[in-house]
Amino acid sequence: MRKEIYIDELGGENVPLTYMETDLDNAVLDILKNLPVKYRDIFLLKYSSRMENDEIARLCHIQEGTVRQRIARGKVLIQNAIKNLEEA
Amino acid sequence: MGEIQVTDEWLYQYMPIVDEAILRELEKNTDRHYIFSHRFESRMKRLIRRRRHTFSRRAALLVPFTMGGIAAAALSVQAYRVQFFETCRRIWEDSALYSYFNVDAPGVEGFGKPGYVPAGFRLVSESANENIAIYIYEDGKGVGLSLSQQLVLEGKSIVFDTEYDQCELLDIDGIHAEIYRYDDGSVCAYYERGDCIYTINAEELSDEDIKEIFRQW
Repeated sequence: MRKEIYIDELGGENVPLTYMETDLDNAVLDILKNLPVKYRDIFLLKYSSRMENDEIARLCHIQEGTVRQRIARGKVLIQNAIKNLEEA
Repeated sequence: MGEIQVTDEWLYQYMPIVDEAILRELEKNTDRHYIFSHRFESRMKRLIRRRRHTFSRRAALLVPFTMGGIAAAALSVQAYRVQFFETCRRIWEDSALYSYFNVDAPGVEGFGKPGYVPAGFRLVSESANENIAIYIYEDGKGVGLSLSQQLVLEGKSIVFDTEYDQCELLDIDGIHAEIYRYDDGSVCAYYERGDCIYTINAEELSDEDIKEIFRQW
């Protein structure tokens, strides 16, 4: 079972940049963090804040179809980025 | 390798970690000892002071009156209704006090809705008693406009801030209106006529519109 480690030293000069156990995990984390904002925001709302698509649509002032579309396209982006990572 | 599939379950596992990571980066990059410019500080203080005196939560406009002055206006003192009055202006570093004296017999100014508002504005809130009437307007973009008409009572006073960036006098049918403009585009206008004082507070308003509002009120 993969274990997430949080290194919590706020305020220090040397706050580590890594948040996961392995380099692969951290690389995947960077892919997700660096998604284009319009995809990342929706992913955060849905998969971290656990909002429903209609709630996300209202909050972001977009159509629910747009939410679904961005989720689908975002997943493709992430999958392609992970594939490039694995091939590198 | 080659085993990671981006599924909902996988995202539900990873996105909270991303969320936390983003927050921690933001906190790490926060300069807690940042010193804001004097201009920014004074504008924020002005905004905070004004928001303490807003008439309406919906309007969220810049209203320089003290609540004490408004409470005084709310008193129904028939004997003090007047037509003309004298205004004493006392100016301090960050505020000005206008006090009214020698108020005469009841005048001809009645309370009434403004006869002119700029195009696009609609009335969203209205409140009035026998001494003060306040009208709040908004346009389609949420820009606010607050108009008030107050009967002058003997000894009544109101407070204005003096942190405006520009002051001008506008002649309206022989009476000067005071126009105060601020860097953020907002404007406050003050006008005395008959037995009333009239004020306009707006997020943005031209001199021409101010003139017409006062003229047709």
